[in-house]
Amino acid sequence: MSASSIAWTRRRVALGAAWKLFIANRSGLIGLIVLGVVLVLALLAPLLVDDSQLSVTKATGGVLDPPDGEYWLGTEENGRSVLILTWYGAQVSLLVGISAALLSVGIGTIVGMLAAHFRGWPSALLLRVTDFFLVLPSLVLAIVLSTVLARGLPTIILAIGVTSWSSTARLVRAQTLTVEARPFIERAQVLGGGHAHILVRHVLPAVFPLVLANTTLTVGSAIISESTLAFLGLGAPGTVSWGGMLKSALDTGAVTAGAWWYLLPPGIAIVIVVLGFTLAGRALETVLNPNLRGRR
Amino acid sequence: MVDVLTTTESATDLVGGRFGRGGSTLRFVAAKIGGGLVSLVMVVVLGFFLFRAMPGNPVRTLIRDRPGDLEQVERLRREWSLDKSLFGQFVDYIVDLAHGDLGTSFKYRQPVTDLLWDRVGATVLLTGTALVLSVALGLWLGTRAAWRHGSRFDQLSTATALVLWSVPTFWLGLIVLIVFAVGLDLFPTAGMVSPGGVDGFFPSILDTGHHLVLPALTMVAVVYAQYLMVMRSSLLEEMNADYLTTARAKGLRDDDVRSKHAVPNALLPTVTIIFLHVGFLISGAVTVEKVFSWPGLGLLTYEAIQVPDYPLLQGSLIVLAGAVIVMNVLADIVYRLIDPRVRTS
Amino acid sequence: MRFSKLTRGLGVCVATAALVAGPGLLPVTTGAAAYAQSDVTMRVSHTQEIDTLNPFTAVFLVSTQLGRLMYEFLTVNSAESSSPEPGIAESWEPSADNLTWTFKIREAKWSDGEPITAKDAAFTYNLIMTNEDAAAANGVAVANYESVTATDDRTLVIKTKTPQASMLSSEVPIVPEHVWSKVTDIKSFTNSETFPVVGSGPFVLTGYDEGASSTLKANDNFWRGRPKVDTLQFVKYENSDAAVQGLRKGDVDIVSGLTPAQYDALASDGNITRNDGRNRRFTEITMNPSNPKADGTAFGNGNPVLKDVAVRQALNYAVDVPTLVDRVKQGHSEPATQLIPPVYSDWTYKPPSDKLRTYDAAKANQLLDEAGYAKGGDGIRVDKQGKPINLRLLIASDNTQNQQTSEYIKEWFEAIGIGLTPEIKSSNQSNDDQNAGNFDLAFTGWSVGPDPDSMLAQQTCKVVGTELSDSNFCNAEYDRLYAQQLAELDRPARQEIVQKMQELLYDNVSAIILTYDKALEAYRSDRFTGFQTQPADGGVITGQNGYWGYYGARPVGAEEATDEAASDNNTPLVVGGVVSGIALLALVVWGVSRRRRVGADERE
Repeated sequence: MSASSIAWTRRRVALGAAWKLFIANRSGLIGLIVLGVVLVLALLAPLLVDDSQLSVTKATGGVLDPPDGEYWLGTEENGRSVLILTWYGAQVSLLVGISAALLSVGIGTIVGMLAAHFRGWPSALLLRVTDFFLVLPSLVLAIVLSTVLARGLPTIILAIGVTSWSSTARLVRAQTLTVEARPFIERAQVLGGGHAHILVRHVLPAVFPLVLANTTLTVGSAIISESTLAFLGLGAPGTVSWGGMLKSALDTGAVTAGAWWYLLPPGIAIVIVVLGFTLAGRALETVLNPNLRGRR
Repeated sequence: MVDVLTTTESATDLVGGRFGRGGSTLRFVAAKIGGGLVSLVMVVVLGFFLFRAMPGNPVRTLIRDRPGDLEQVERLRREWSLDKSLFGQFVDYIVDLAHGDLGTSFKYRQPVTDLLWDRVGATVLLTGTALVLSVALGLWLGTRAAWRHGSRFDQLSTATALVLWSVPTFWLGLIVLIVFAVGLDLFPTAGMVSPGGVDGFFPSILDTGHHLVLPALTMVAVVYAQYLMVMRSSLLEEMNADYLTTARAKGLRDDDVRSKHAVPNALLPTVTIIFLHVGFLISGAVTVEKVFSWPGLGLLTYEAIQVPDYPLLQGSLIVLAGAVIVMNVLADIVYRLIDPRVRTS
Repeated sequence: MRFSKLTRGLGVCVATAALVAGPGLLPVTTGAAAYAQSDVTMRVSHTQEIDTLNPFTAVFLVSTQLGRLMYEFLTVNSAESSSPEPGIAESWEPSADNLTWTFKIREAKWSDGEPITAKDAAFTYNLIMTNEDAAAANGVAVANYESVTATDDRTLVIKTKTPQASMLSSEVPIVPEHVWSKVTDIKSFTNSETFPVVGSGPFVLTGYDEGASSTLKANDNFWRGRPKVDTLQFVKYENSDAAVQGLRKGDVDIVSGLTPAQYDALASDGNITRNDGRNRRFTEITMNPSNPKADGTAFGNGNPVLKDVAVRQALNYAVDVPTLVDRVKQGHSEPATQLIPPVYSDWTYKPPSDKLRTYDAAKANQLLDEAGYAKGGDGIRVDKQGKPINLRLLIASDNTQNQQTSEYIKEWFEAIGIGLTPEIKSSNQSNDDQNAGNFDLAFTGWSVGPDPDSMLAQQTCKVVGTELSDSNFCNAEYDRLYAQQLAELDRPARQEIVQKMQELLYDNVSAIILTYDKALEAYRSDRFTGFQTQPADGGVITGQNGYWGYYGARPVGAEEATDEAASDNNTPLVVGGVVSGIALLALVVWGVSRRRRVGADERE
């Protein structure tokens, strides 16, 4: 057997063991199931929801009507069904959440690895920048970015991704330091491995499990950020999102009119999805970090 | 908007590299202050260029309801030096900043410093109260949950914390507002004082307190979870340490072991986390202030975005970021001074 | 140790319970205090800021409203129809060549007892004409003035450079010379530091809490007679939802700027009377005609298809305004056709039925087909160069109704084969783009003053490419008519010219004028009545070109009001007591059960 196939067999066995551990963790399992359901619903939305149900000119319901037999969650200010819109809105939230989290974790991982790997002033500079972003009120910065750039989904993803990478960077830096202290890294260096080689082929696989867990948790906070930005009026025009629905509810006087059917579903949806990612992420951490097992 | 619910094994990992063990305290303090100053400079420069990239001529909005003539428009442009080059404006900005002049707000047409000064008290009151309450609540619950690890209490508090952490701050604020202020009519729906003011010193304090309850409650509910989880995981890590087994073997009661040994040691990195997350608290203040119409810096910032009133936004960012940076420098210094592990090395 | 922890926990619980329930147990002091006094106080809410209370520099709507209450003008706009009637000036006479106006100043006093004379008026006008800072707010009104002199205490003579038809609609607050001659720096003078502020309007400013409230007291020396309301207070709310809650609770008596949903939600409240007044504002979608500036330079990147009047007509036919009125404005609006709203019955324009453009998608399609814009494979038409037509629509981020409307517009335009891309930007960014011509379509709207001149000026070629232009419209014939109406002092003749101008605008489809939104207001009719609307028939109470709304108000029996305020206090008391009781009970239960559990652990 070749070296790489041995490595892959080892990984497969480890994966199987990890999966068994993960299943055993009840809350993690619940989180995963919830996410699975939401993902399926989100993917089915464009197929099952008819265009006419999203159209304002073809809307047939009354304005801000309470739930009844036809509209299970009542109607919003244009007469469309709140249930349909909440279902459809899952797409934007998941898309933005996952993309922003990937961007954030991507930046954080690169910065963290570089900061730990190199010594001297590049490391100090990266550390200072990381510190800077860590303490800055990130929402304020994201708001400013969203205002400078044109409104749209790419802007929101960029704004969230660029302002929330620092805790990942810290984490990856700490982990990289630990990994690089191990003897096999030194051996690789002696054998002539350059920076890129060590980082990509040795450090990255070692930090990867942690990064994965971190990503799952980051998606949760990215979804909250996206809904907050949409609520503050910085959302993408023409898209249906949970934060945007809550903003419209507030603007059209749902609070004064007591339209609870409009104000509850989008918020509850956010809580469920974020909770799902958080539970799954924490379970993943427990699985990958044996030290945490007794403590969760 | 933050940072993930702490994924590190313990808080010490997160703060690990910040404190050089050994080296004189003086050099450490000097390095920290120097670092803080660099950060402040970065904020100032960032503030200027970020907002100058924001287009927005306020003149037309102002005259919309009362159409003026071309000379009037020119005069207003000169007033805000919109006719100078970008570099010229930057130089003016730095010079003014040295004099403590943050410019004049487009929207309110008053000095930015005055506006910020008027509103900072309200934000400090809100975030300060929320910080104290959520730290107290988070630490207390976190300690108890860790000590009763695996019990019903532990499971319940962890579950509640996770759920509340998953709730968007603004939505929780909206629900709280509707249930307690609009529905039950127990609390006011907006502002910091009753409209028209309240006579008398003591009644006005109570009036402000009455208005403070809901916004503070909302912030605490979302933020305390972070402190709870950090304290809990730090304490759990401590509890497995050898010296505690020794203490118990010596015959010390559980409570004493906890409060005299484990908790203080677990507290140290937790405190640093608390300071690190002040930035998050301020971000939360923006949404809470909007929902409850609390007249603080957060609401001012939000309204300034709509214009965009960039002198005001610059000033706001500098003040908020500056405050957070200063607090962190102080926290680092204090931590270094009180951490027994560092002193002895 | 155990006890201290228990007491600590107890302490926290008690403190929390007290914090939650305690304030609710206090009597609501505001309501009680207001009615304990013998004078009648009326509270008005506002959400826009006050920039300053200096009448020479204030431009925000709320500030100018306060200015109208504090200072009388030479002539005011009548309540019935917003036409000029005497104010400080009792009567007036233009000379034969219409270049000299002689005003007779009435005998009246300032609020401090000093007599109001022509010298005060001359001082005010000359200050605006000579001091650049003082011209900030009202410089436009005196732009055409050559000289203003007070020949004696009762006579004011104004000479204009050219005949000015809008002479009697200049809304310049006249200030007392004996107070203002001492002001050295007009620009930084706030006019809200020493009280009471001397004025000649129906109310006197006696207090100003910046960002919170402004307090005015009735002026005993007001020449029309003292108002019936003793104290008038303007209270700042951050948003209209909070103001509506305040109205329900009784914290405030008049609320304006309601959204349709809020307005409808107040229908069931017996103590509240609502008013949907005809407003002097219109909303429109401007279409960039890509006209060059006055000096001939081209600017902007507007889509050239909009130069074709057939395209503009088609877009107008594609908009179903009655649906917008019904869905977006909940019926609280009227479909509009031109710039001057119907509240100004003397000037408004109604297109004849054979010219009127209403929703007709078929006609829109027909016009576009005939003009040579064929539909492509995806249903979107292509222009003469073969490029699919996709228009950008600018929307200000703080206007949620326009955002809602844009969703309808997008679907209607797509139905006739025109693609639409909404761009949401802050209002200043939106203005920037419009000034620079970097837009295709844009939502906008204007408040029109009682004299149509200023609104009409915004459609002239001279202002294209500046902040003043409404839609960068430019037409030589229009400019000619504009100059004519400005010099025409015969009112009926002038009205005819203004009608022709609006007809020209309508035929050229200068913009898609959408609606005249009603101003939605509500007030506590159990406390106040007698609000005089402007215009008298179906007008507004707040935001008038005058002070009639506040001036005419009178209280409805103060005794009933006190009883109501008292009864409101019971609810918080009851609820507070119940909550405290439950908290204490829970505390006891928890304390008892906890001790037992601790004991069990110990025994292990």
